[in-house]
Amino acid sequence: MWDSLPFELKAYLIHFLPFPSLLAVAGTSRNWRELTTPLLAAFWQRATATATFDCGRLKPVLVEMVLASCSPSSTQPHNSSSALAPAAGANVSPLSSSLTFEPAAAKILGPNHYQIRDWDSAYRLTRLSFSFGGGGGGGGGGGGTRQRHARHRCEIDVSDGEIPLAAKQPVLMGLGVEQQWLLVYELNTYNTGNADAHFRPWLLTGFTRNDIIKQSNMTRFFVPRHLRVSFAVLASAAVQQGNETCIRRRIKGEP
Amino acid sequence: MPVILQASDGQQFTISKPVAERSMLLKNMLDDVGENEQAIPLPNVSGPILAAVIEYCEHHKDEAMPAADEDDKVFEASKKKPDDIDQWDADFMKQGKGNEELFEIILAANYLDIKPLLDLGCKTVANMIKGKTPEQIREMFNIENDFTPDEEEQIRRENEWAADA
Repeated sequence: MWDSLPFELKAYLIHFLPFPSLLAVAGTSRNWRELTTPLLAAFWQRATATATFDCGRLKPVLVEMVLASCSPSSTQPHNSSSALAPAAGANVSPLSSSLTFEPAAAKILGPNHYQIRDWDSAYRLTRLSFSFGGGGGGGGGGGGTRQRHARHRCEIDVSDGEIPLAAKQPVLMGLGVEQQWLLVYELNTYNTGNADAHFRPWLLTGFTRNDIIKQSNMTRFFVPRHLRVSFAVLASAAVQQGNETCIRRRIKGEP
Repeated sequence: MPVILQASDGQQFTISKPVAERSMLLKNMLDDVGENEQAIPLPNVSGPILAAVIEYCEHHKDEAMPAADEDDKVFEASKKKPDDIDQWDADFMKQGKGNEELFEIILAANYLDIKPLLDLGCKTVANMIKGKTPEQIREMFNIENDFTPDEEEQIRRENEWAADA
């Protein structure tokens, strides 16, 4: 019955669907997938995540992230380093329910180092915020004239998100809730002359020129690598209010 | 002068001009033809659906029609609030209206060019879809799953949570 809805009406109807519903509809049939792809692209192209850390400073440290890999493939963001590209010749674009974000600054500055100050006892992850879509442009929904798109936002309040800073050697860690989200970060130390330490922290949110790295000393860094989140969490963020205990696991480096 | 509408099944409805003019199709027709005692045939709308459409138009007959140039603004505003449906409208869409009736009302609203009713139908569908999985949506709207097994497998695989960093 609904498959027989005229094309123009289907194209009109999908503009009323919020982002999670669009994703669900895209998974129902080829026709609906094709129809929703331009609209989904508009959401994907403006996907950002922000991880908020409390370091005991006056202001929280905000790690701004951009979408690094997502699907469908036709909607890959321009700066994508996707590992979820579709198989060659595949007729169906991938629809992944896990999205990966990388720090935005990493795109312009190389490794995204946040200097750990002597008085920082821990970085405590307090909140994850996600935003999809908004603004103008994007697709027209297959013949529709509507060019502007709604924004889908959700926030996850994180409890027990403390990141111990005690590690002396480089260590790659994961913090997250199983099947929901995972923040991979690195704790590292660099000394004078290390190429990776050529870093201009004042370009990042919350930093000033006073935060310039002391080249004469060994300096410790918190390096967020990427954030992966299950789409199911994004679709039902209202129920994810920090009730789940975060799990930390070592990925590489010293225990 | 009243306006007489004839549904596809021959059923006739006599309504007032302000009610008929909620439909842009009928408004333009009345403007072109002028007042006429002959019934206007609506071959794409059945009697029960036309009765429901008339009920909607009767209720909203005193409301201002959005100007053409305001249409996009109205659409944008309403689109941002898909849950924002007037209580009477919500009740109207619920009253004994299954999927088939809802489908027919959307088609009729499109044919008769009654934009507020078309938007109401779309919002109702959007709210029905909310929170549903693709499988549930297929079942609810009787959508044929035409993905090949390979494509299904690909989607299933890609939907799996990748625990590795």
